[in-house]
Amino acid sequence: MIAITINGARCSVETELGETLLEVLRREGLKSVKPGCDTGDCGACAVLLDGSAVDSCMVLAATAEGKEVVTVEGLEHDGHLHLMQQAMVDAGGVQCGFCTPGVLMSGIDLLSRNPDPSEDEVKEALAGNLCRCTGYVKQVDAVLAAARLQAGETDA
Amino acid sequence: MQLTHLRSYARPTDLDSAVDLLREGGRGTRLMAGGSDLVLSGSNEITGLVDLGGLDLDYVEERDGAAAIGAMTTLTDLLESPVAAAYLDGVVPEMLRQVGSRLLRNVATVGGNLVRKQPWSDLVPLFSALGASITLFDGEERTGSINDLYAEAAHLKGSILTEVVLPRQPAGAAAAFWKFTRSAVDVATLNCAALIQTEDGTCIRARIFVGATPRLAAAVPSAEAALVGTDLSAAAVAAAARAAADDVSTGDDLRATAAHRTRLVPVGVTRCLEDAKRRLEGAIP
Repeated sequence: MIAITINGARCSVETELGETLLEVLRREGLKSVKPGCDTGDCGACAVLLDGSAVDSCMVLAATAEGKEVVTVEGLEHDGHLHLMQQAMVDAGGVQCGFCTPGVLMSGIDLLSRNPDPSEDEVKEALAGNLCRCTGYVKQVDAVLAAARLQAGETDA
Repeated sequence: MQLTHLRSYARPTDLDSAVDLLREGGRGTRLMAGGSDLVLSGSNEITGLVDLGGLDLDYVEERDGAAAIGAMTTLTDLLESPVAAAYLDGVVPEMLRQVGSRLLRNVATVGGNLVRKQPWSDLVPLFSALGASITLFDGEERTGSINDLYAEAAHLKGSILTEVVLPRQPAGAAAAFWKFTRSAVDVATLNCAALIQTEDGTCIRARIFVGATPRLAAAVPSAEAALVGTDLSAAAVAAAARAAADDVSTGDDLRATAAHRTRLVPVGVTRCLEDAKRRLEGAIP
């Protein structure tokens, strides 16, 4: 059993010692966390762990004891999409949607420490998230738009 | 499940306990730093883990011009630290930015990277060129170079790498790092690091390391010698690059052929030296 805060709620979660955070989160019903490769290469399983985006497939669940995890299920607030989600939808950065949860996490990680990133900085932040569908352009646009939303600017 | 045979997991809060747990655990027990490599290994041999996360080994401090880095510092934390930004003009963040993706850097640690000793490690050539010293603890503390660390592999088994110190560099020193890779996040196909030190316009010291050849980074003494005593002119840099091309032995692997790597060696050495020179020139008012 590990004590872990998931999307703001303190939980006591059953886990086998050798399990990854990815497995545990999905078993808890958080299906937004996708098993894309299990080798730490694709970013589809990315979640926020104590505020930093990490591939949950390479995190032993036991090491998440006492920490805070945020998944896509926890982004919505009071019926409103998180600005990163809204920006991704508005920019058309979602096709099949499989990579999207991980992309959102990387985007949020970036904006939490660099609220005004350049396009190159956005690309660097998303480098660990592979997308087979979109060609990345609209995902980068979305993160830049989210930065503007976060800064409270209106569309120019 | 990745680690199907894992039966024990401990997160000690002091070094002596960590060493004891490692010894008592026996053959199947491993130390875990960031855990990225360990967890993804899916190894059946790992029956116990001693998590080093509770030992307060995540710090980056400036000590009289040297950069002291705790072994559990994530690559991201080192990349973003003001101490690293100030050390030799930010050559350490320049290297770290090229290691995997941010998702990996948020988990992987400096100590884990050095101990894991992957031949494509980007930290090893740069830290070797900088003359890093490594501290190990096995009940007692001892300090040595990265070379020393790797030379005593057998004795490492009961030890914990606790700290890396990048030494204070004299005025007139500059360093650079170069990595050739197939994609933005792949490991190096070839990497190179250089440290040069000048006095009155003459190079008095040079350290050049080439790695991922596909073997682990090693010094290139002939290239270093080609620079010492020169004014680091284009001709001197070219001589160093030629010496490296002749002396660095390369091999085939899934990423590149030996021939391709041999063609890359002088390019990497040249780019490193030119970058280091630019940094030196930038320092001159």
